[in-house]
Amino acid sequence: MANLKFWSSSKISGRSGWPRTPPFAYLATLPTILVVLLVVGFPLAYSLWLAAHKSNPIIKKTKFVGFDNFLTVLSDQSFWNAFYNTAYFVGFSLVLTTLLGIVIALVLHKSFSGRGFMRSVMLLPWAMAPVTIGILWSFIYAGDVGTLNALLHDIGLSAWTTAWLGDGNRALTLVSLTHVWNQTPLTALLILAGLQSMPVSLHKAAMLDGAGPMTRFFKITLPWLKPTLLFITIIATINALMAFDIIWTMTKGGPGESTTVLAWLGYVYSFKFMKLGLGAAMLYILTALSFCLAIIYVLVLGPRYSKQNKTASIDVADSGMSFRTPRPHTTQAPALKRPILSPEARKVLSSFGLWVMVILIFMWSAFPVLLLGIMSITPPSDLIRIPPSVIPSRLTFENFETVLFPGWSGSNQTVQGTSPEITVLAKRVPLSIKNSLIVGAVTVSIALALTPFAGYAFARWPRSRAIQAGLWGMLFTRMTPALVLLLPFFVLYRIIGIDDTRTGLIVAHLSILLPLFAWMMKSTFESVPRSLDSAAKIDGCSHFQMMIRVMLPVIRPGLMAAAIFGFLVSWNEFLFAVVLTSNPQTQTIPVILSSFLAQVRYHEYGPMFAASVVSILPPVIVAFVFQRYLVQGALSGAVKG
Amino acid sequence: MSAIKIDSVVKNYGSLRVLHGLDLDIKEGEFVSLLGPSGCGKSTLLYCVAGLEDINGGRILFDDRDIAGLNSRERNVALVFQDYALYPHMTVRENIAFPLRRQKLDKETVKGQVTWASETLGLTELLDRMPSDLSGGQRQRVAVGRAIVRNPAALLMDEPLSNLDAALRVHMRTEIKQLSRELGLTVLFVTHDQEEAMVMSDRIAVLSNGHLQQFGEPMEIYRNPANRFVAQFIGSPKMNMITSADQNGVLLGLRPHDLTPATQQDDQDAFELTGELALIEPAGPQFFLDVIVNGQMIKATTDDIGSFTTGSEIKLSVPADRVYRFDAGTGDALSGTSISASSRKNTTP
Repeated sequence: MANLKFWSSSKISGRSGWPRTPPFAYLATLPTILVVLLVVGFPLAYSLWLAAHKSNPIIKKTKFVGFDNFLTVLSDQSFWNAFYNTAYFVGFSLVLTTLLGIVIALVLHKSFSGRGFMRSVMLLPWAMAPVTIGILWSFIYAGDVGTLNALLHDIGLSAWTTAWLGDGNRALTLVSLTHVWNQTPLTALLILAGLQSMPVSLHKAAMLDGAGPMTRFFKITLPWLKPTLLFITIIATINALMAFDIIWTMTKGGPGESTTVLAWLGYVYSFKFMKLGLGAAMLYILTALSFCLAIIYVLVLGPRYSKQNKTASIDVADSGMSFRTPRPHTTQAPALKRPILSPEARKVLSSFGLWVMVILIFMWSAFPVLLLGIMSITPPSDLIRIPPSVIPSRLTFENFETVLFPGWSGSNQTVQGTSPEITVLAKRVPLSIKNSLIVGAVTVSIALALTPFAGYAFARWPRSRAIQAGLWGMLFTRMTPALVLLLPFFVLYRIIGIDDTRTGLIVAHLSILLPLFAWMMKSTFESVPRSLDSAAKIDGCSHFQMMIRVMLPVIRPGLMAAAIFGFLVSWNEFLFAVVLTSNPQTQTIPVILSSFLAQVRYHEYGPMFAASVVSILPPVIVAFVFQRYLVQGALSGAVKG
Repeated sequence: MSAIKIDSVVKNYGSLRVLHGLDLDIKEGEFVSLLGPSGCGKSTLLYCVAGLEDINGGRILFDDRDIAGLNSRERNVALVFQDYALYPHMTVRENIAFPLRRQKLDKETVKGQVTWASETLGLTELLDRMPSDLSGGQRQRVAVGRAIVRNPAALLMDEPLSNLDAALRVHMRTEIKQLSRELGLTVLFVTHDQEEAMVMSDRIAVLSNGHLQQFGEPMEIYRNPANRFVAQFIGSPKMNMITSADQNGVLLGLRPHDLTPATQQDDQDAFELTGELALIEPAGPQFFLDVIVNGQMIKATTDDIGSFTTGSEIKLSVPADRVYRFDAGTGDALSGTSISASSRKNTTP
């Protein structure tokens, strides 16, 4: 018993147990916190103000109405219609992304040659901009000349061709399915990370204990993944609730109101009907809904903490070894069973099954993307011929010439079926690429300059109350959907005169990237041992020198990951861009793509697909070349969109 | 090199006091180990000396100068970390040169010092490698190199050997000890391994629960433990404790190495125990004997297993002057280790 006292009282890291927070910690977080307050906190407060007022934008009069806007929204029939559509959309995508994600992750967790390549392929639908996805799939489902109809026609099933998005119920399902296609890689990625963190010995032990593959999956893999699944459920729900880009590009809420979800309705109220108060109220209801669901998930699926204290370790050495329960009975080992199939046969069968799954995953992920590529090098006239066909008559790069070098093709040759007023849009593509690059680069640079310091403080002084408050603030802003910020940005930008500028768009993108980056930096620094900080200080560094000379170089992979991930987020971002910019000098590539769609009746499909391919180039390059960084970024930042 | 005086140092973590007024006087060039179980405050004390933690009371003096107001970069101490804390983005050369560069020394001096340190530690071949390309032992050397390169006031080591495998650990012990002798380093060495502390140190400070238990030379601590905690913490296998039959409130401590099977030639004063031999553990040069004496497991040793078999009765004896006596309540050592004659035949523990 002698040592009991000494061992048991040795827990130093008690709740109150950390040294005081140095001023450096506050200084490090301050810039990030201030900017976030400015670009998120203030607009949020303003939109809350909007939600409590009735405003008339024409006579510029506002009146305080309290909760009236909320009550009006809740008593609106179209709200409840949208509510049911949203419930269907969310339920459908949640179930399907989770099931598909688990299957894909399990397959890509196996080792086979080409696994790295397949992981990159798997990521494609998620790395692409939702706008591009919407364009691609809306053309696939299109009524007259759509790819699906063309395919049916080619294989002699002309009778089955139909306007796929024409029927209300089917349209909602197809839009949900497109969302599933976009979001499944994220789920698969997170589950894959969960699988990789699972100790191998766990499965080996279960195998020796006689558990078959199914038992092991349900009794070991699934319980191990439970925290991951909880997280995925929350993320997937929020992403589905806030899905906007795909609706915008594919159906615009139609036909009728059959694909009008809450996010779309809030957008329509605010920006079509200019009922800012109602729109803000609706978006707040949507936000509240996502928070409530998140809380419910945590309560239902979350970890249960037992209240038991950990008991002090027992002093084994002094206790002797005389007290033993005799063994009650000996269990008989089960007789060895002869397997039905020979080991060789099973090997062949399982490898065959694996390759079937791999090919299916490849087709699911890559086929639509390849289709987009083919359509971009198909002559525009092929895409609108009747009867439709998927087989191009010839291959050409003229679409790319049109969008990348508009001056060129205009003077050298006249593209068939291209009238002068159509190329106006194509001419904007190079400029929009430049805008996208500038906005992405500047946003990422600002975020990278500020957030490592904040992330460092978040990681190193998690017990300081002020730092904790900042961290919770970041979490809250990260969970707050961009939709809610859209309205105040729109109004405030007009007031301060940065509407329709790249600056305005950069500010808007910062509202997404800053909380995301702060979080990523925090988890990056958490993996850096504290002894490195101490070593740097002892070797003569001030806090600031330590950051510059030691910490930033050490976390360079994390910075790379954040930069690449953040650039993609900005490059793909559509909602802010489409609402906050309206002139070609400031519009980014997703906005131009969506304008192609608005003019779809002019049959400018060729340039549209070429521009789409250009827009997915950065995501595709990242998915294949920087897959590691993309995955790391997604896992540490987890996750926007 | 400096002498270090630790004067009633108090350290709190929130409401929890982890150092209760420690006093230590470390001479210049002395190798002192801070020894204790995990959580005893030994690393905390080291960090307080390094300036990585503030103290809440008392003073720390380097050569009679209070260093309270100085932060770690101004104290000129070097620290070797348990995980070495090498800068992963720098080569070995840059790692070793880093503290010198921070002192803004001129290039020639830096180069000369780095060459000297790398030659001293046999790192010359490795200077252009990255830490990730080094073995555990090599990393350890680089960490030591980074520490000694700038002639620190004190070299602080926080369990530097615990991440090495057993053979390398024993080898590095000798190397570090030799190095500290050659360079006349004042070393504060934190460890939980009593054997490491014994072989390396000039003096050992045994800590428990934030209190200094004993501060003395290794053999003094082994032979004259100040209390029951020190007695049981130093020495392996650890000291047997039995209650004295004829003195209330007294515990008798018997080191397994002193407790051997009784023979005819034993000293008249020998203290004897009889019990059942439960287990024989061969340990190379010796055998450990687990003997059940009145329901308590007692460990003894013998060089020659002879005809002993498990289950048989065995008589153990220990020279009377090797029987340690402790107050059962306070655990303090009681002066006078002799055992009264009447207890000689007493086999009741």
